[in-house]
Amino acid sequence: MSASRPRLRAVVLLVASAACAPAAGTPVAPTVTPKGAAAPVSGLTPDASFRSSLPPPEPHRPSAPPRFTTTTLSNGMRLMVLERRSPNLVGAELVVRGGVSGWPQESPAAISLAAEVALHGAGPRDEKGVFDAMNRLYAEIKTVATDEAIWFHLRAATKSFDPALEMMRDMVVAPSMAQNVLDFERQHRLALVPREPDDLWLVGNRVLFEELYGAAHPFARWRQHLADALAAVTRDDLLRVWRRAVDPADATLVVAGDVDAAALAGRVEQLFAGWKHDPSHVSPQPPPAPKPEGPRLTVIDRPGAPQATVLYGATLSPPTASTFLADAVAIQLLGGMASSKLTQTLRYELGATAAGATSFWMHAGASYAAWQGSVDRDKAADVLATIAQRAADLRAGHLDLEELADAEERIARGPERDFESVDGLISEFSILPLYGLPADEFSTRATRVLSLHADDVRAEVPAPETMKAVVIGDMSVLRPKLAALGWGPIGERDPTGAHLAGR
Amino acid sequence: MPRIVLPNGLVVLLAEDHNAPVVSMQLRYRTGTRDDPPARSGLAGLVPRLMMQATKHVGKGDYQRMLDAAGSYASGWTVGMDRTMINVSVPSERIALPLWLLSDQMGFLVERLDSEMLDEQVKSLLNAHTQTIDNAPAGRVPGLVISALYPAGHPYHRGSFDISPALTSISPDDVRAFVEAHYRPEQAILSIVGDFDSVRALALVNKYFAPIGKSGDAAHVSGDVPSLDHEVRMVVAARVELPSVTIAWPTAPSQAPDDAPLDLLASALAGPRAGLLRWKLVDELKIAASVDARQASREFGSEFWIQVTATRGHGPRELVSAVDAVLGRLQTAPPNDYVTQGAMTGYLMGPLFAVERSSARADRFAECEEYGVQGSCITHWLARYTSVTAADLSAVAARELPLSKRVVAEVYPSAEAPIAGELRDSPPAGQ
Repeated sequence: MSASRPRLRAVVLLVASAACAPAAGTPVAPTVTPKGAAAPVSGLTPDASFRSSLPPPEPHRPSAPPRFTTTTLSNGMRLMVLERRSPNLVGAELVVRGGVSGWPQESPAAISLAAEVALHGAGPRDEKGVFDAMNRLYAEIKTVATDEAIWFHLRAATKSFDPALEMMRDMVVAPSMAQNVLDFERQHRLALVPREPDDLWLVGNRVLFEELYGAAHPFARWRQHLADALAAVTRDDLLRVWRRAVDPADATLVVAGDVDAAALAGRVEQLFAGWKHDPSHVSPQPPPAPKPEGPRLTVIDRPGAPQATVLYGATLSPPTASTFLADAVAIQLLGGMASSKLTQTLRYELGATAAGATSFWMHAGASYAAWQGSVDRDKAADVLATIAQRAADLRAGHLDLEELADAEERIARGPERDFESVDGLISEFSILPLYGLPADEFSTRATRVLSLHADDVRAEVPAPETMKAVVIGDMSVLRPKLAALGWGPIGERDPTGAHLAGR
Repeated sequence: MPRIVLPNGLVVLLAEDHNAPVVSMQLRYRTGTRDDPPARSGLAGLVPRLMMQATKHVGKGDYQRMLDAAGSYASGWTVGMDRTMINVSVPSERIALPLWLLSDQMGFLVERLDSEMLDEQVKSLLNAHTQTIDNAPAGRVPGLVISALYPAGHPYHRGSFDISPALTSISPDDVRAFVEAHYRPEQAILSIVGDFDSVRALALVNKYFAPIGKSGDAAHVSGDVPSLDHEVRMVVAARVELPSVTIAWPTAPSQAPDDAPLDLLASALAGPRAGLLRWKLVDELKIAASVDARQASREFGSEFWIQVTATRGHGPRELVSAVDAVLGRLQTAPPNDYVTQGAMTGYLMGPLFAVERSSARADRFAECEEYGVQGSCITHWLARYTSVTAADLSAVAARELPLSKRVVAEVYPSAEAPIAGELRDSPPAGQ
């Protein structure tokens, strides 16, 4: 083994010791038997009165979201720091607003590829040098372009954080965009294109985005077939989109973990001083409003499929809207909670699905939600009708106040689960700069949610006639019952999600 | 921080962590699909569904409703071949709620069971089976490979998601007998991690769990680590887009000396940092669209899996030849530092950061208890990996992955075949 092994092992054990610090300790000896415990018994368990009643909660200890500091660097980039001394880990996320939807004049494929290629060579390091350094530092950097941002994600032990951040800085400021790396990444993606029809959720969501946002909307556009666009991307394209899309004025570095905020601010200023704001830079355009198009119901043919895969969704308020939290609660009632009446009906009364549920995704311009599940194909039409009816009932005011209270509690307390880890903190707090949310977003959330009235929520339930359904399955089996829903002409697509010829 | 054994045999692990107002717990039963009666396979998958639906003191649908009302998240269950795990995370002031619910599952499911409840959950299980196996591209292949790796009669022979046709006609009494034999306190570990007071938590655990009766005569299955003395080849036709190949070996059981090196070997072959197979088959030869490798660790024998999907114009046998060339070299010469360190960091970074979460630590501590790990659990877990050398990777590849003793499943696209695939005597014409 190489001479580098002791250093690697030392770093690993350093991190391990942090992970096992007393605050997060390991339950070890001594083994004890509690005093006064009942004697071992065999067979049936005796009943007792305390088993018949819900245990009351312990006294609530108010807890505040983690505090953070915000600094604006001389180049306009912002820095948010959440200090957490233990364990000995640091996470960071550089969020550059824009992403594949922010530059409509650029190819989404070029922006997406640029983010990937930037990781594989920057500053003084080629591709092998980057990964060799990450391995020796025991650090991890990942890059990705999504609908609304380019993300640089860093995880490291405290001791490795500074050199790892320097590497990440190089990827932002001086990516090599090497031709051979571009060729490899393009080849990887193109090789997977023929397999796409086997990925039901990928194809289903591609079609759902087209129907909900409109095929020309940037959120839908970059999910469409990319083979031709990928093939056309050149190294010059990567360099151009990087210059256009990556500017400190749109960037925020969020750091959480074992760091000193004041010291870090100085160091980040120093590290990123060479990244200058381009005075001619134009900030990314906000995504346009959705322009839903096409039929209310689309079937993607998958001959021989023994089950139907159902996606049934709607666009909703963006995170900055005053109605956003009411939207989030409404979606809990419309299948977001496992205990919701809709979920219980679909799973157990109808017996149509094992795990179908509604999920909710934040997006600038318009968020979206969709019920997604694998469904008994003979009951696909019943599932859609049941969801539509539940939405209509909720809009008509048939809310169960107890169910509403449960939904509000889930949304009010949702972020707390993420406050126990560096990854979770980064994930939650990076949405503040991404969407321009206020600093008190988390500290006021519970109050805002719990003050919602039933009418606020009712008004945000999507109208069934505005929702779009995509069903993947054997069209010859599905069509008669789906047509009987009376939802108008049914769109028909092939297994890749393309419109069927001649229809 | 104590490890407590209640008089009925339930092991309780308590680890306070006041970083965030969250408590996570895992109730781990040392039973899984390996314990399914041969004529009743699917029972182990059914039990946690029933437990989460209703018990004597908890009404139908109230489990999830009460957890949702308490602001719970990440509640759910997992059934594997060796164990069944029920996980719950709640705001810290609600710690008593999941203890009450989980104790009612352990002590009072059988009294609540009825035919209607059973029918609902059998339907749900069958839907899940269709989703996972029948409606999945080449979804039958893992089960076919497992059946070839483990001989008939071995507890793993039927795989992790086999459902007997007889399951649709089982009675509540069948389920009661199974539950009373396998889901008892002496077969369980309750691991609690997070923002709580240990004294108070222990009082609650004692109140809810200590009175629960033991089984007394639980039957435990056992099995030998299997071995193959030849290569088993199978041809599968499936309605999929691209050819693929699955190669699997019977390997050392969980926690055996070769187990951790095999995890790292998988990372060296196809992980995010290293990737000897990826570099050769995807980047250089361009015959593969994707490569995956993993060690599936189990108590009575594990499996090492390599799965490769071809690019258009290439076939399973060409993929196998290329995989063998890479493995052959690795078996005779250790990988370089770049690959070895990449395999290690690539494998460990995710779990290392994940273990910050109380739910991940509850799982890790329960696993250490299950395998009798002494001392610091997380340090022990990491040490198993950081002590592995490049020479170990080469040696374990030679010892555990003989090229002539394994199962190879060649998968060919066929428009006439089921999506999940079916066995054929030979590849479809023209392939």
